[in-house]
Amino acid sequence: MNQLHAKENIIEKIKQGLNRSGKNDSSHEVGLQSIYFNVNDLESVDQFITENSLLGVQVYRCKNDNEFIEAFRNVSKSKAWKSVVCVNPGLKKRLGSPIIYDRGAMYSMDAVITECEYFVARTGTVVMSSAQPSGRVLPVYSPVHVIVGHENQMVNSISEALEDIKRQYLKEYPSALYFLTGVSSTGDIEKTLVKGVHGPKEVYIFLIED
Amino acid sequence: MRTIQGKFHRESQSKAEDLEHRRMMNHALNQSEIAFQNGKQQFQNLDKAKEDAQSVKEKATIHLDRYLLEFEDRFTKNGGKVIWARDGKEALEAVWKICAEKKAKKIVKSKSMVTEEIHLNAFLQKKDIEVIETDLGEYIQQLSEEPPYHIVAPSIHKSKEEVAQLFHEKLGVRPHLGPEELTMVARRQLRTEFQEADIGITGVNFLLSDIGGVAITENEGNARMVTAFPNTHIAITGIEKVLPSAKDLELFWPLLATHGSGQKVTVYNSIFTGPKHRNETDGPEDMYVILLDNGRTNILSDPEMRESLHCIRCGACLNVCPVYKNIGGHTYNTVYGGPIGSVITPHLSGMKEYGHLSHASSLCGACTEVCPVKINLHELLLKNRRKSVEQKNTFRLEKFSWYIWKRSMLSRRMLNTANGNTKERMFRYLFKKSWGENRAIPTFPKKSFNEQWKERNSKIEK
Ligand code: SF4
Repeated sequence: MNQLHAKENIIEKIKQGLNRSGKNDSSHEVGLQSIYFNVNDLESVDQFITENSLLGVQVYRCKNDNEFIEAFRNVSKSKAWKSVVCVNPGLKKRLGSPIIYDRGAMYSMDAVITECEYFVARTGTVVMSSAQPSGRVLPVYSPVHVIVGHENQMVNSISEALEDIKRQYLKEYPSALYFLTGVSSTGDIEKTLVKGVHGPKEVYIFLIED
Repeated sequence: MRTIQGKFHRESQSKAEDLEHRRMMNHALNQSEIAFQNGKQQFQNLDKAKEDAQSVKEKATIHLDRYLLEFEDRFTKNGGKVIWARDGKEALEAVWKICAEKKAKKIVKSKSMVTEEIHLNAFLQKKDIEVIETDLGEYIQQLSEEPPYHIVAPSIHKSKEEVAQLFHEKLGVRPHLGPEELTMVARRQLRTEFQEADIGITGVNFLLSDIGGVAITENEGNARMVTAFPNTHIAITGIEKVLPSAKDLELFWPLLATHGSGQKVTVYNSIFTGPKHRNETDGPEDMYVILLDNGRTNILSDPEMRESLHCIRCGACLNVCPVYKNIGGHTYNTVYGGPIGSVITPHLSGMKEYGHLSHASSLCGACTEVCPVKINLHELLLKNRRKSVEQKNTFRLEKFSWYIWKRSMLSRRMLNTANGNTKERMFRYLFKKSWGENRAIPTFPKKSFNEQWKERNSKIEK
C-alpha cells in the first residue's frame, strides 16, 4: 500500500515538476561513437594488444589450439602454478594437464582459466557474463585470471558487444555482464597505484587466430 | 557563531591555514590533474562528446517518469524487485524489511554516496547489523570513523603514514606498512567478509531503462565481490541516474573514467539485470533496486536548477576547485562536497542551513569548464546566491566573500591563470551587493604582478 503511494507520489511529482505542457525537449540525437574517440590505423587485434600492454596485461597471440595449449603450459610452468581452476568442460578437456582442477579447488587456486564472450578492441576490454560456466565468483576471486578466446570474438565497441550478447542470448541478458579492462587496482592511499586489491593481481590473455 | 554557517567559516579558515592539509591536497589533486590530462587524449573531440552526453541526460531528465517506469517494467520482468522511496526514511525502512526477512547479520557494501546521504550505516548498526565498507578508501574512512572526504576518492586527505598508523591501531598489523602492504592487508581482511555476508549493498552509476539493468563502475573488484557472494543484492540509487539506453554507456563509461580517474575506461564496468537465472552458476537469489527521491523532484521542479540532476558524480569539479582544495571535504559539512555539493545541498537539505555554500566559490568557472555533462555549475551557484539573498540568509556573507577572495588571490597558480578580466568579474560577483552602488569596481591589470615582475626581470637579464 505504502509502496504504491510512494511510486504514484514520485511519478506525480516528476510530472508536475517538469510541467511539460507540449514543450519539446531540446536534446538532439547523438551520433556514432567513432566521432568521439581518436582513431589510429592499427588492425583491431593489434589495437587490442597495444591497449593491454599499456594496462600491464600480457596478450599471447596463438595460431591455433595446439599453439595455445603449449603457450599456456609454458606460462603456467614459468609462474609455477600448482592449481589452475577450469570449469569450461571443453576447455578443461583440451588442456588436460595435471594442474587443472575444478571449482572445489577455488580457495587454494593459483589461477583460473576461463573463456569470454567478446573482446573490445579500442579499450582492450574483455567481456564476460554470468551465463558462462565460470559465473560471477570465480573470475574475480582468483589471484590470477587467464582468459582464452578467438580473434573472431573481437568487436570494435561496447555497444556492438551489447548487441551481440542480446542476439546470442535471444533477447534475455545474462544477470551479470562484465567489461574487464586491465588489472584490479586502487589509488586510494596517496594516489599510489597498487594492483590486485580485491580482484586478480595478474591477467593473461590468449588470443587464438582461427 | 553557533550556526552551520558559522562553523563553516571557522573550519574553512583553519583548514586553509593547515600546511599539512595543503600539502596532501596539492599532491593528490595534482595527480588527478595529470591523470585527467592523460585520459582525455582518447577523445578526438571532447567537447562534442560532452555536448552529446549533456543532451542524453537532458532527454533522460525531461522524460524521467517514463524512463523510470520502463526501468521498473523491464527489471521486474528480469526477476528483480523495485522499491520506490520518497525519502531517506522510506529507503531505510525498505532495507530493514529485507534484512529482517533474510535474518541478515552481516552486510558488505561497495562505494555509494546515496547510502551516505541516507546514513545507512548508522541506521543498520543501531539494528545490530554489522556493515562493512569494502572499497579501500571507504574502508579506511570507516576504520577512522569519518565520512568520505571526496565523492570519488574518500580518503584523499590521508597520508600513507596516517593509514599505516590507523591499520596498526585498528587491525593490529605491524606499524609503518607501505601502500602496497596496506592494500594487501585490506584484501585479506575483506575476503572473509565477502563470503560471510548475507546481503551485498551497492550504489548505482547508471540506471539503464531499456534493458532494466544497473551499471556499476569500479577499479578494485569489491563491487563484483559484493554482487557475487551474498545471497541478496540491494542496489540503492537516486532517481536521476537514468540513461535511456545501455548503448549510451559507449559514451558515458569513457567520460566517467576520464573525468573521475583519468582512465580510458575503468577497470571493472559491470551491468546487473537481475538475480541469478536458473541456469547460471552462482549469484544472488534476490536483487532489489531502491529508487530514491529524497528531494530530487524538488530540484526537478525548478527549471533553473534542473540541470544539476545531470551529474554523474565523477568528482572532476571537486578536483579543480580552488575552494575545495583549500578547505577540504569535511568543512562543507554536507554529504556532497565541492561545487556540485554547494549547488544541490541547499535544495536537498535547506537553503537556510546551506545557502552560505553558494558563497564558498571564487566563481572562477573551472568547475563548469571541466564538467563532462556541461552543468553550468558557477552559474547555478550564482542562482543559489540570489535565492538565498531573496530568503534573507545573507548574514556575514560579505566577510566570507572577502575571505574567499583572499584565499584565491593567495593561490599563485590561480592568480596567474586568471587574467584581469576574470578578476574584475569575480570581484563584481563577490561584492555586487556589499560594494555599494557608489563605489567604482576596481580594475585589474591584464597580467598579475607576479607575471609582470617575471617579464621585466627576464627583459633586464637579456
Ligand atoms: S557536477 Fe559535473 S564535474 Fe561535478 S561531479 Fe557532477 S558530473 Fe562531475
